[in-house]
Amino acid sequence: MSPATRSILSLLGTRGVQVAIGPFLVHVRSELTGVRDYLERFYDDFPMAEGGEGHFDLAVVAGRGMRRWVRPQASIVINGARPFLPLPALLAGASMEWGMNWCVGRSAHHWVAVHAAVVERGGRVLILPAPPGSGKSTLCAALVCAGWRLFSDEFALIDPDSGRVLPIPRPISLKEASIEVIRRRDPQVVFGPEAHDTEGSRFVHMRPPSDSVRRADESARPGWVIVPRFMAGKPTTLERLPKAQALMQVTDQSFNYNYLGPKGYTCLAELVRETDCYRLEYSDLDEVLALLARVTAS
Amino acid sequence: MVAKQLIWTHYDDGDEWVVYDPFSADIHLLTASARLLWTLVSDEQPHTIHDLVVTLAAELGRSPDDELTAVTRETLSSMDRAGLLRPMPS
Repeated sequence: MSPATRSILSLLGTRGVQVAIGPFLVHVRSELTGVRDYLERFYDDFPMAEGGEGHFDLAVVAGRGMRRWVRPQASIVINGARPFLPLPALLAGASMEWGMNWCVGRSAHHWVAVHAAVVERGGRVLILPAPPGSGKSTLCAALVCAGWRLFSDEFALIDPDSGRVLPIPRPISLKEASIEVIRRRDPQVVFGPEAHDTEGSRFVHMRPPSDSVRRADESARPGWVIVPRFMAGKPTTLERLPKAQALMQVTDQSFNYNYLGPKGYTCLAELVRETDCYRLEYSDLDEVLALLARVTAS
Repeated sequence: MVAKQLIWTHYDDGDEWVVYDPFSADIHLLTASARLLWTLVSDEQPHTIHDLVVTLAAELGRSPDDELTAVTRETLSSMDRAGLLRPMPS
């Protein structure tokens, strides 16, 4: 970590720190060492500044009363409100990440947001829209380890005026067996400590590649929409997805196109028109990476 | 029934249609036949089921039998429930 970043982070508990994450400026404040450790480990490459304001104001604060000392807790305060119940203090860093997801999902209505993993290669973006549990973050992490640029493991942000996709690279969240799968694929990848989330699932965060963070202001045109589904023990299949059905899938995974009215819908309809659409079932990452390399090279 | 202002999307790789209702923000996937039926009732003129079935049968190249009549009724009912139609002004 650079001395400048260390100096800025020393203000985390007082004036707070402004972090540039893709198109957003996030103001973070916390006295908790867990949050500072988290930022040091995962956000070292991100542009940071002292204090300032942000599109989102996040504070991670210690529990009140007994909860400061006995089974300590942390609460996330977003723009002055506490939308979530307190979490164990061990999850303070992760709670900041989850808070950012909440902010983007609720507030990023300049763009059409789709719940999807997004990566880029050769100036074209691969969008993997899917509900939780479909294996999109695992596939996203494997693609990133294979050299694709990380846009996001959580959101496709699409500019409704230009149709371009904006990067918002952040730590990738991996759960359960995916942790070991990705750890084996690339021993160089930096992971955070393992913990259990609010649903009891074992998870870690994976540090985003420095190059992806450095290029966070480089948007790109969509190239492919691939709807993934992890199917343990099943052979890998990649089939053309009729575009009308692809549009249904993409709108189903968008939580804000309706805020933009017809403009939001038209944005997604044109995204699908512009891209090659597939349905993917997979269980073997090596197979699927080879398959996607062939499809996206053509 | 007459049709509302809706946004329809069609792609060259299939015959299905996607329709977006700006009033409800709902999106529906329709077959080409359902889209044809919607087009027939969207002229703001009253239609009998018999007329619709005869026209559909001619367009689809099949006979206007009981099965087509039942499917037509069901499709109109589904489109009505989905908010794709509204009562014709009296």
